[in-house]
Amino acid sequence: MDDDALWQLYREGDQSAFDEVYARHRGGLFRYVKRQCGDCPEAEELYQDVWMQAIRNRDSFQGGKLGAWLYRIARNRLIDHFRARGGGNKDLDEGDAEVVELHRDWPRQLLMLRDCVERLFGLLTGLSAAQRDAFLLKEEGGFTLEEIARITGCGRETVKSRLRYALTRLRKGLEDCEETS
Amino acid sequence: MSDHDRRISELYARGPREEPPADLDSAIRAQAARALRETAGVRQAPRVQRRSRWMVPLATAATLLLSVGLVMRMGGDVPGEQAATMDTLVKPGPVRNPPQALNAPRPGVGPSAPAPRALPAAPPESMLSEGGTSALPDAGRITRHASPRVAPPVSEEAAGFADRADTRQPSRQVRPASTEPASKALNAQQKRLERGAPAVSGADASARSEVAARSAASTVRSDALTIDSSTALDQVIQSLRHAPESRWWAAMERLDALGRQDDARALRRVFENRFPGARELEE
Repeated sequence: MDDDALWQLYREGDQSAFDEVYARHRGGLFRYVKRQCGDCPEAEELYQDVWMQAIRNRDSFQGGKLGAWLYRIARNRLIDHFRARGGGNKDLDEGDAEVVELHRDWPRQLLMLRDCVERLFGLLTGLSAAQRDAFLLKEEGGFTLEEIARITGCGRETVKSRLRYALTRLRKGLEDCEETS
Repeated sequence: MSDHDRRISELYARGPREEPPADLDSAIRAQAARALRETAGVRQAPRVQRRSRWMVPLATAATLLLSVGLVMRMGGDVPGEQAATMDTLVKPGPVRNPPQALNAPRPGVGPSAPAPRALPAAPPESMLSEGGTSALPDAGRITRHASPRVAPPVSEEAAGFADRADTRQPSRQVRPASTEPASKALNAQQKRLERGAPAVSGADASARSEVAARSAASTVRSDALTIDSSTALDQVIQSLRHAPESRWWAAMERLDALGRQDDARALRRVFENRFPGARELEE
């Protein structure tokens, strides 16, 4: 049974349907929130807020893709969080130019697989919020460009551009890693 | 997607797969269940409101219906309204005889006996069905009080009279074609009562006397109008055949007042033959 049907059952009073939906999305949504806010201490609270909001507004879901709806809620909650923190929402909507320096000078002997993973996550935190957002939605949510565009409220080409920039920078940071693996 | 991008996805998938802690999962699931319960409560509330929405008009309508029924029953005590009510029940046919009164049990009083209290006019014959059944609601009310103490012979008749009156079966009430059988039956009933019914219970007697007094009152009133200087004595006697003593006395006085002393004396003789006890008391 797909997510939409399960959510409909939940709206009609079937608690087990919610449990099923929750089990499907809990990991990806949690990681998305946690990595997008940079392992902030409020990550769990934000994650809980996302689900609370989904539960409260369960009747407002009019079909489509439930995962996209959940991630949109999470993204909006993150924007609120960034605004409250004083950073505004430019971290998610803009900031393509703000990219941390890639770790080009890591010793080659450390570039083993495990280190590659660690390096990848290090590089992720160095991406702009918008690029990281697009990347995480793709990797954690499994969404297509069109779906990410709908979630983020941007055009498909914008999402494609952000994703391309993100992958390019990650690829550059992991060049040695690719060679060793 | 290029091989490079696939490689990055693989590396990402090999990264730490953090998951929410179990207590957070439990809290979220509990919240979801609580939201369902609250929704169920909210959805039940309008149902209750809906029920109460139509319960109030229903109760009002029921109360109104009961009130109207009660007023209609009580309205039977008022002569005008009673007649109107009966008119709606019975389409009057040709009435040959004037309304006949049931003979009240003789109280043993003479001309000085107190006149019966003012009561509504007796029902026309057309309202009485076979066996002397009255369609009057009053009769039903009167005898309903007496029914628990009804004694066998006469009280059975009275009770039957009352019960039938109370049931008010339309087939018995509406007799537009002819009222003669009803009149005959009523006369028979009156004769039976005239012969004197032994062992009549108090309640039964009071019920019967009330009905009779009501009839008598109306009959005397009609006699005062009919007896004049040209009224034949036989006609007067005929009209008093089933009348109570008070009406006889009234007729005698009327004849006396008209200067028809002979007729008054003749009527007195007939009266004494009919009511020997009255003469004894007078003497």
